[in-house]
Order: sequence, then C-alpha cells, then structure tokens
Amino acid sequence: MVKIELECCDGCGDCVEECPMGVFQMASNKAQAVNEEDCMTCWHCETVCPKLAITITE
Amino acid sequence: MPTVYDPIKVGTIWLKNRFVVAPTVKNHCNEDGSINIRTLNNFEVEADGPGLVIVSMSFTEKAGQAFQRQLGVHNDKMVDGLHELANVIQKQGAKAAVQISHGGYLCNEGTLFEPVRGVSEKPLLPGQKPVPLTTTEVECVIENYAKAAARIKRAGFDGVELHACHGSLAIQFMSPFNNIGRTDRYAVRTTFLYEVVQAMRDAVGPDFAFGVRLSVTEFGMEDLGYPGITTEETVNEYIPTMEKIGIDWVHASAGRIGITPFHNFPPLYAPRGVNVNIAEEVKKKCHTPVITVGRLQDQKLIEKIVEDGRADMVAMCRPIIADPRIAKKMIEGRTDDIRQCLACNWCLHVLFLDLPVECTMNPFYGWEKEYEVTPAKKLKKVMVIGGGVGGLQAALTASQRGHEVTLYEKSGDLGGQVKLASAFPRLNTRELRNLPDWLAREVKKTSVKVVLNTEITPQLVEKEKPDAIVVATGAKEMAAALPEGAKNVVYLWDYLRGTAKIGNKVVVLGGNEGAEAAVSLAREGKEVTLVEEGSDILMAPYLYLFGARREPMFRWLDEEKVTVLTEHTVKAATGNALTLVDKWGTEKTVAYDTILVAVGREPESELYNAIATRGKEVYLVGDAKEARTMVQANHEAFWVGRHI
Repeated sequence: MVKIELECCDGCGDCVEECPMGVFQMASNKAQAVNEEDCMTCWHCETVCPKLAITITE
Repeated sequence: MPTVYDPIKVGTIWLKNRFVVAPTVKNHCNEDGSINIRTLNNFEVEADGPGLVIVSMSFTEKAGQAFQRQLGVHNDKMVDGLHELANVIQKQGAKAAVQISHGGYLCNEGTLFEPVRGVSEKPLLPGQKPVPLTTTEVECVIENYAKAAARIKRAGFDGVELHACHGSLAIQFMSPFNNIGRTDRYAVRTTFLYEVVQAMRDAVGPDFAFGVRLSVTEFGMEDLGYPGITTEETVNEYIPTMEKIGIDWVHASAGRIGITPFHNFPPLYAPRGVNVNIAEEVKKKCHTPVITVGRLQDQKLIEKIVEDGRADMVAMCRPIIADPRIAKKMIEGRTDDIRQCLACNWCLHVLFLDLPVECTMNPFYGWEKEYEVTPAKKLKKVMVIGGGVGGLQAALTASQRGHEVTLYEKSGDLGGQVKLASAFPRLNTRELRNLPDWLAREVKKTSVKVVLNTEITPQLVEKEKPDAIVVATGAKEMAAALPEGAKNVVYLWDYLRGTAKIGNKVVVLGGNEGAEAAVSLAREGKEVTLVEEGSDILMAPYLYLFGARREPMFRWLDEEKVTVLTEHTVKAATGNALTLVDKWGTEKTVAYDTILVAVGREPESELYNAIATRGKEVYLVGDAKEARTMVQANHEAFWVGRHI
C-alpha cells in the first residue's frame, strides 16, 4: 500500500523521478500513486520524499 | 512484447529464458587458476534456472590476474577443468559462457610478483606504479585474448564474453582518463577494443556466441571531474563498429572500480535497477540483444524491464549470490521464498581484500555441498533467546535439522537491530530488512514456536530446562560521558525509532556510527555538525571499507554541508553551546539545539554470563558476543544451528 499525505506533498516530483517502477504521477501539483499495484515495496520513495509524506506498508 | 520467461536467440544459440547469471569473481578457484570442486558445486546450483550462465571474469594471461584465486583461461592446462565446468552448467539446462579479461592496473603486485602493466603510467591507487605496455606487448596481449577465447570454445562452452568494463585493460585503453601519453596506434582510444573484438571473433569463428560487457558511461564529469567514456560515444560509435565486426550481445554496465563505485556496485542507498536507463539508451540504438544489470532482484521490476522493451535480458550478480535459486523461484512463481539481496556489499568488501567471496544472507555461498543442513543425530529441546538475525537463523537451522525449537523475543516483533538500522528517514537502508523478513517467513514454515513480548530470566531458563540454549541478545547503545550542562541529549536509536525530538541545530557525537544519521538529518533540513574523537570517520563495522558505501557517504556529507570535526572531544556545555577541543588544545564553540549520541554499541551479554556457568550447552552468537554486523550474526548462528 502506498500512502501519500497530500497535505505534506509539496509537488517536487522526486518520487516520480526516482521510483524504478513508475508508480507515481503528478496531478494538480500533488503526487499520486497511479500504478499502485506495480509497487515492489523497495521503500525508496519513503527516503526520497523531502517532506516524508510517503509511507509504504505491505 | 516478449517476457523474461520467453526464449531468445543470441548469435547462433537459443536461451530458454532471459535470466542471465552475471559474471562474478568468486575467488575460490585454485591458486594456479584451475577449477576445483567448490567452483563446480557452486555453478551446479546457480545454473539451475537461468538461460545463460556467464562464468566469472577469467584472466587471459598471468600478468592480467587481478585476484589471487581467480579463474584462469591462460594456458591449455586449464581446458580440462573448464570442460568439466561447461558440462555441469549445460547439464543443468543453461547455456554456458566465460568472460575473459586482462586486469591491467586492477591487478596488484602482491599477486603478480612483478610490476603491474597498464596503458600509461597513471595509477589507479596511490602508490601504484604501472609500467606502460609497449606496442609489441599490446599485440601479444591481444593474441592472448584470442587464444583464451579459442580455449573456451575447445572446452565446450557455448559462448565467450569480453570484459570491457569496470576498469580492466580494455577500458583503460578506451578511457581518456587513462589513455594518455601514448604515441603508437593504441593512442587512439578505440584501437585496442576493436582489435581485441576482431581477434576474438577470428579465433572462435562466426558461429560461436560472442558478447561484450561494456561500461557504457564512466560518469566522467559527474564523478571523476574529468572527461570519461560517455554514453553518446559508446552508443553511436563503439557498439555500431563492434556490431559490424560481429558481436552477439551487449552487456551494459557502467562505472569504474575504485572511482565510481556507486554505479558499478550500487550499494543499498541506490534505487533498484539503477543502470536500466543506460541499457535503454543502448537498446534504442543497437540491433544486438542488450543485457541489463545492477540491483535487479525484484520479480516485478525484472518482468517490467523486459515487457517494456528496455532491455532484452536481465543479468543478476549479487542477487544470485544471495539466493542462487532466484531465477528458478521467479519462474516457479515462488516470490516469497526469494532471499532478496541487501546490496550491503559485504561480497565486494571481502573480494577486494582478495578473500573468497562470502554473502551476508547466504551462509552456504561457496560451500553449497559441505554446509548442507543434515538431520541431527540426537534431537534436543533448543531455546533461542533473541528474535534478531542471529536468533532467527539459529532457530531456522536447528529446526530444519529436527530439533524442537522455541524462540523468545522480548519486544513485540521480530527483526532486532535491523528494524532500527533500516529506519533512517532520509537515507535508504530499507533493504536491510530483507534478511530478517525472509528469515521470519522461513521460520513460520517450520515448527519453531515463537514467543513474543517475553524477556528471558535465568529463572525461566531453569524452569524450561532446555537441552541447548542459543543466546542472541544483540547489542545495546553505549552511553556517552557528557559534561554537566549538556541538555536535549537524544540517542541514535531514539532517532531511528522516531521518538526523539530534534531541534534545528544538531551536534552528532560519533563519526562512525553517527555518520548515516548525520546525512539523514541534514537532508531533513537540519544544520548538522559531526564530531568524532578519532582521526577517521565512517569506520563503523557495517560500513564495509571496500563495499562502495563509504565513498557515497563522504560525498553526501559534503553535499549536505555537514560540518565534520575529527579529533575533537567535548569539553564543556554552556547554555546552547558546546565547547569542543581538538588534539592541539584549540577550542571551538558550536551552537546546538540537540545532541545526538551515536558513540557505538556494546554487547548485551548479562544473560549469557548468568546462565553460561550452569554447565549447560549454551552458545553465544552475533552482536551479543561483540557488536559487529549482520554478517557475523547470520554466519555464527548458522554455524551454531548446524552443530547443536
């Protein structure tokens, strides 16, 4: 499960750039987990997000 | 689009699927370079599943031997052994190829007993004095490549691969970083490469599969601060020319040993599949099949790469060390059984110490037959204390041997210190969880009774009366002696648990265990000062010296503007300032809001001391013995599990 705290998201797009599976896309300046089923739980986005807005749970 | 499970034709041979065992120097052949039973057993396991096995980088001549116990194809005596090896791999259903190289200045004088040979006098490491090869000698080297390729064909292999990546001789000729000051025709950077490819193709004939492993880019300006090989020239010039000479696959890697380790040996901080975009660039331009490599361990990612057409084949090196049956498990759909690589780079650390390769996760590596888990002769009641890596591995192995095992953990979940080590908010160490997670899944499949939230006392041990006890209680944080007046002191583990309140200006005490925290804190936007008593930082046991983990950390400390103060001790604390003093007695004042203490760990061995005297079979494993790393915890526990 990919959870994004939309209030924290500042729309920097780092998660979109860094996710090896292309899970994220930007929509109206907020990150959205459009391909959530592709997530391979590498947790990379958690550490990439400068606002610590993303949480991955299995 | 084809999938990774579909066959593919490379040159004249068909591969049953698109998984490739990447060439891996295992450093456990005989000292003369010949094959031994360890090599054969190792490949017997690895060749079960993937379509192509590329046997480790092997030296074409004695002067090009980079590691003490590397595989050799340098003379005709090696052909017998190579034939056995080809047989083992082919009987498992995979196609077999061998990668060949001359190490150039990757070699060391201690192994060669003669000066290292290279393209120019420019060394890789300080103190090294390479002697440039003369034109005639280079011609000789090329001839040796060709002879080695012919031997591989004669031994019964299906293919051969040229090692032109990560800093071996071919790339030394190709790189503007090294190829300087020559006046012969090899001053043109590509001459050597093309002549080798031509000579090897001539030696094996047109029908033999022949691939090239290339460092597509050297990250020249980015990492070296010096022009290196660029993707553009590789894709537009080198590969098309080699295609004309006749190559059957391009194995796209990147980077240089010793210079850009973050790219050729991406550590756990890097994202998975870090080099796929490079393979994609090659794939767009060239017509031969492309193999991608580099932190590819996850089934979803591997499937997606091939389905999206970003590469034709997927090679794995470290993931196969961690789990030699990874391709087979993916093919059979047993995703949860896969022991996913941590990218901790212990394997590379021991390799660069010139020792046989070991794996943190896979204690069997290199001893597949010898360490096989066999049923115990006498079944015992085993008590394992501690649910970290050591405890889980001991419980798993003992239980697989038939013992009745109960595992006790004082907290509410399994994983031990790894739960903390993998929790840096802004530094990706999450991969570390792969090991305890896998062990916990495996333990669940066995008859091990797991008891959580129970702290073991000597009285409880007395009551349970186990036949054997494994103490894997781990380590605890060392307390720092801080001067009076120091306030807002938090410990590293509190930060990792997420319970620490941290202000804007942070002083991190401990440049070894605290360095990762310093980077993470700085990325959170804090102003960080890293203070270390010793003369060196980043020497924590788990940041293996040669494991490609120190270099990126140094870079990030620099990038994130962390102030690093070595040989400084805390003298006094007044108000919101710490007074530090260096070894010359010079004082320095640093303002702070929070002090984060990370001065190290010490073993948690009280319980062992209390129960070990009672004349029972008691074993001590992992950090409870001495605070070290997961490698020791896992390997010691496995050893104990096999001996109870």
